[in-house]
Amino acid sequence: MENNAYIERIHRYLAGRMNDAEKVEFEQEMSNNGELAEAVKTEEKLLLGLTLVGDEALKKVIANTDERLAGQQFFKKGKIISLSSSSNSFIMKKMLSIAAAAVVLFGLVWWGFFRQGPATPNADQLFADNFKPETAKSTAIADALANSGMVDSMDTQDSLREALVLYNKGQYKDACVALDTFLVYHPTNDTAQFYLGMSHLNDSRYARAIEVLEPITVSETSPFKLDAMWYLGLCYFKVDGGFAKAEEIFTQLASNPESKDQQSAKGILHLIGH
Amino acid sequence: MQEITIDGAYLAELRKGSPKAFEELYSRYFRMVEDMVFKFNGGTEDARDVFQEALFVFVKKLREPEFVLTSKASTYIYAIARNLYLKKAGKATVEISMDQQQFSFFGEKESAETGMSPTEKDAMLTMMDDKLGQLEEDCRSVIIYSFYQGLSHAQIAGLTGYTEAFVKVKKFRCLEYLRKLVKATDIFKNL
Repeated sequence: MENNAYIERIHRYLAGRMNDAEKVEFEQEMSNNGELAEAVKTEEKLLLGLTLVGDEALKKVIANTDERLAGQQFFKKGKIISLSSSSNSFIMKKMLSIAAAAVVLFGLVWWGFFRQGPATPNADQLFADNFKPETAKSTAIADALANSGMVDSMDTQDSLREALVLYNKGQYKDACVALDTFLVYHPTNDTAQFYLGMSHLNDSRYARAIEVLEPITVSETSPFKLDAMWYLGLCYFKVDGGFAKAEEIFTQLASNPESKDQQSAKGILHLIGH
Repeated sequence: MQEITIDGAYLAELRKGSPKAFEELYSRYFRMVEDMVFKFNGGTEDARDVFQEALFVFVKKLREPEFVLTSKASTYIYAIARNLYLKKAGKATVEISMDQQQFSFFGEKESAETGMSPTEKDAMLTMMDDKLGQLEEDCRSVIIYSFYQGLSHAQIAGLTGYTEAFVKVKKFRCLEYLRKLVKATDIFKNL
């Protein structure tokens, strides 16, 4: 406890939280006490190291948010809006955007009229018939993490394992919190990304699940790529205007012999008259 | 532009680095910063860069234990972004209005030199990551809450279920363990 007070005092000095009198006294003490001066140096380096790691994690979270939003065309929309300073250009852009909206609307009407005939099965039904929560792989991964030789020291694997255990128990909200926290410090871990997407999907947050699963489907190396495609396709059945995207994904899976869902994808395509 | 109410829960999410909390900041305030950058003839890419830096500075400030948010989040973010952008664009002499002057120093202190070369910084980061990874999960959490997120002992106690007194003891115990690990490394000795 005495040692804690000693370290706390050094931290207060380094954080500039001492008043002037206290600071002068501390610096006086430091100049007469080599051990204290050395301890101050050590704490300064230690706190600097911790700050660097914390800053890096924060920068990554912000950069990942920016990238994710870029993937959703968030910044492109902004570009059109912010051209308002040039009136001519603005009017032109406005007209173009109205024209584009009309084309899209016409397309949607056409699509709805010709594609959603009575034979087209209901997207909700397709989802319900094909969606089963994935637990076999997550259980195997959680077991493997538990048996990976971490005898007396817990490390990052344990927090991932705990998150997967929550997922396997069907506690999807808690799993999301645990996986989100894990991803702050391990943003590229695709196991965590995949089960975060799955947790959102199991809790019917389809748009959020799409955001998380989509990057995995474009990965060249992720072992979750094909599974993520299957579930992403199902997610698209549950969002407005997602039917065409779902069809596109199941077409890719149906032609991929490496996908364990190849036959199921073919079945879905058959049902929707592809 | 709809203002975010920075209440305790939202503040905790931002301090924690929750991606959803950052998305909220983007959706509310990015356009505001983008418009400012356009006024100074910058582009969307410039706005994206400066917005990222501004959020970094903003959340770093929020994590300071003594920092109290006295203005709207938009005022802070705008002032930080404007200051950073004008500095970057070499237009530091452009006037900053009275209500923004108190934030004009933001972005200077936070980006101050660490005294390390980029190589040293990388080596330090790798070493710290490695040593933090060797701590037990609960130890690492307490250090992250305390030193990255700037949470008080009471807040950490609320999150972990420990008593406040135990959090304090644990924090110093974990830090001591980490200190022993890092002190033995060459990068730490040579810094």
